[in-house]
Amino acid sequence: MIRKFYQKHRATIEKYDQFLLNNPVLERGLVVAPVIVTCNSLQNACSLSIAFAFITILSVFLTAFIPRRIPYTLRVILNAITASLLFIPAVLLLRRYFPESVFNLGIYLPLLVTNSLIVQKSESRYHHEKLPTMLLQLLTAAGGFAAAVCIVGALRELLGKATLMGKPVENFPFTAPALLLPFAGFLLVGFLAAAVQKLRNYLNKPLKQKEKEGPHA
Amino acid sequence: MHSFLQTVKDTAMQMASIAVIAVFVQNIIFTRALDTSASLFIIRKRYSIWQFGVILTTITTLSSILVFFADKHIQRLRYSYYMTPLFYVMMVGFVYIAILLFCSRFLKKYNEQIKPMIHLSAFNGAVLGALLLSGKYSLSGHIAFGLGTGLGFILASYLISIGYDRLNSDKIPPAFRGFPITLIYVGILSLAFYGLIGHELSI
Repeated sequence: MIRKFYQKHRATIEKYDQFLLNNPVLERGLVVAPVIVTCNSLQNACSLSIAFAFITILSVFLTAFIPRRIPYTLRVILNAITASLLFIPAVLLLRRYFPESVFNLGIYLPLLVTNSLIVQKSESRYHHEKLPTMLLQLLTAAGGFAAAVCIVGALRELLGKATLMGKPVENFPFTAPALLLPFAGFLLVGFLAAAVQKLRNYLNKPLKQKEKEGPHA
Repeated sequence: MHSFLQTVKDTAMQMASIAVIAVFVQNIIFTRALDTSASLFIIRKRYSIWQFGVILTTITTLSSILVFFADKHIQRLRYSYYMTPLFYVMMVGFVYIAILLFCSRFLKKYNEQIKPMIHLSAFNGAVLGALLLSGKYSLSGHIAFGLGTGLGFILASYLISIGYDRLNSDKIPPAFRGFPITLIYVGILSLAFYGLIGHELSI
């Protein structure tokens, strides 16, 4: 049923969905560095998601008003400068709600200002769309990023430290501290990306005649 | 004369050790995971790793020199942490324009070929990451760290490219083929680099 629905609305889903099948981290491998290195706790993951959503959505939206007649190189620089200016309120916001995470995210927080969605995808994709479409795509991309990041952060924190949001999980049978290291981040994101690819392959498999006709045929 | 030679020798040794740290200990892909997507992109598009690496190294090194001189003033600001990305982005932007102008003036023959690589390498995690990480070094240290970052990227991309065709072959299960198995492969190489360092790096 899901496959039938997907195949019927494939064009629309492919256009708008950046939450699951076109997830920026798990399908396209964009913005993987902070996920792999810093997302070893749910709290880091939450703060990273908030900072990413704030900086990316607002900067891509604001830079959509930069005239297209300005050369590409200057537009790219202006995109990055806009994101750098938005970095200031983003850090103030994080300092208010997650004061520790600004330190924990280290250089990966300022690095969000040159993430691929702002620098490259805004010019090659988002700014070619109409404003409501672009906003919807950005919202699903930010949601997809948050989902991927929180799954990775929660799994690594739980299995690596037996805690969640810093609170101990009682009677958790084992811990594997190596999961907190970057190499484990690569492996975990790789396995999650395989799960998304498996789902995509399943949804793209041709329907049998019976399935096409539906259960009441 | 003797003391001058000694100074040159000491500086060269210091630069070499910082460059080695940047290539192996702080490898931009295997230990920092920066620029992984750009590396996979250039391998997938069959761009020359060497050409891209040289462009990345040039941008990183030139930006590092600018940052070294500007950093003294930036760090004096009351809200320097908030302003640092803005100043760094402006300096990388300046280098980006300068390199594009240089290539269009002096490398006309190769300009069309290398222009997409310049666009891809100017604003990415490796350049800004190297600038943010090299703050504690002297001028020679900044230059060496910039060079080492670029060389580390070339080494890592080369190691990934060796396995890339096999990781995309029919022998790999369809769910893992391409991006997922490449990340797992990079993870295993990253584990080897972690074994070389022996401890977790501060971020």
